[in-house]
Amino acid sequence: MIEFKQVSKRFGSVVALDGVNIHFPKGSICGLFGPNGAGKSTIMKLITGINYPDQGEVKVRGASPKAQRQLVAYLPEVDHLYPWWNLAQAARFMSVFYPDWDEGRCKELLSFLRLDEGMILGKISKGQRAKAKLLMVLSRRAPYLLLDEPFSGIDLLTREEIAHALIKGYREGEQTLIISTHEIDEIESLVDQVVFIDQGRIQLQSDAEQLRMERNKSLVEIMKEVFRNGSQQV
Amino acid sequence: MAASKFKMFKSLYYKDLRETRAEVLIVAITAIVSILWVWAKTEGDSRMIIMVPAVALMGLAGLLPIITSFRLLGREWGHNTIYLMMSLPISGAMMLGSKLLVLLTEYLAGTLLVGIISSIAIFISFPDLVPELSRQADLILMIKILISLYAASIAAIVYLFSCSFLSQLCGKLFPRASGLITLVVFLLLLIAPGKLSPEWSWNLSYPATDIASQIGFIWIYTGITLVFALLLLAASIWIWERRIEL
Repeated sequence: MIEFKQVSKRFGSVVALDGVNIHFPKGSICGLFGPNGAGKSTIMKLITGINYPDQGEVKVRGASPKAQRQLVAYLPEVDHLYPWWNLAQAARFMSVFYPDWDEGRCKELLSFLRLDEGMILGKISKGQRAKAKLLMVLSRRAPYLLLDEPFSGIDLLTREEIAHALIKGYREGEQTLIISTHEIDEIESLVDQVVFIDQGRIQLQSDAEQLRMERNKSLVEIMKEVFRNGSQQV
Repeated sequence: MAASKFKMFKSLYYKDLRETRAEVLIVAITAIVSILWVWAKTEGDSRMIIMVPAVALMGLAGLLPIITSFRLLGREWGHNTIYLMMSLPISGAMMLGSKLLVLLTEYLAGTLLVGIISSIAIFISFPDLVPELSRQADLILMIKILISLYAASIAAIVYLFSCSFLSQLCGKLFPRASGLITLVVFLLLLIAPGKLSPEWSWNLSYPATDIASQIGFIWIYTGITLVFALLLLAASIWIWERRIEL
């Protein structure tokens, strides 16, 4: 379980998060939705322990995120793998640091995502790099998977491939998956929980199915409504 | 099953070691070419001039790792691989320690290559040099002096690497003036020992009257430099673990 209690974070004069309370339940797929600059990436970085809250606390399984880094598989928005690595080198590197690395799953996903382990990260397309990053995350049996904007700047076909890989790679009940994106369409059907965030504040947090039933609308429509009407904490 | 710390360190070390290959190759090729060139242009006693490129190349072999130290750490931000490094379940000591070892490897490889290549050239040019030297001076003592000076140079270079790490990490704390802060802190850390050393180095070296005592002083100086280097490294690790954010 991941918990945010009254978390605030500023970057200079910019308020990235303002008294945020979130609870990501174990074994669920959570969609963290909001426009650019809403604070989604800051939430991801706080869970990973590469940012620290100015106020409040973040707990991953009851401990500080930094102490629990081995439990978290993180896909940042930026390309974070060395451009001179090929996929085999990247996979070998990751396997040394994470005992939960699943070599069999890696091979399986490699073929599913139509990647080759000889591909050099600096010489492949943006879509292939996005898939390579996903491969590094989904090849682990980590209890927490964090995907920060996995579809950003990716063409439609590759987005679909990534979404299918997510369905294939995610271990239901065993893993908690948090996906931050402003492009809801691809994952609307996947998420169990939704958190809508804007300007560092949680606008809405609910069970996805319950929300759809209550409002009789899709998540995309609900998001538009929430961000148009402002704060509607549930 | 817990991941092996040794394997993690090795993995980080080899990842960064590739960065230094080009520099070591540059030093080796320049050493061979320049020494061969001097060799071809001179003959007889004038071949002793081989010492000139050898000393210059020693300087180059010492300078390149300092440049690499800025590239090695700065590149993590430049390529966004800092996201990978900071999310790995490892300590700042392991991260910076592996980089320090890579830089030290570059320094040792470069200086030893230059030393070996120039020594070979000199011993071939002057086959009587060693017997002559052993007649005139205590060879063992000379070797002791060389070893102590080399150890002192290693301590000094480790101090410079620590200055480089600390200044860069201080710079990263202020993203808007990162370059300027890095430069100012680096220069301050370079100047500080010079301002401090006259007092304590004089007190330590004053009683030394013979060569053996001077060697002893070099070792003390080496130890003190290493202590300062480790203090700077500890400060760098603290900043890495507690203050660096993305």
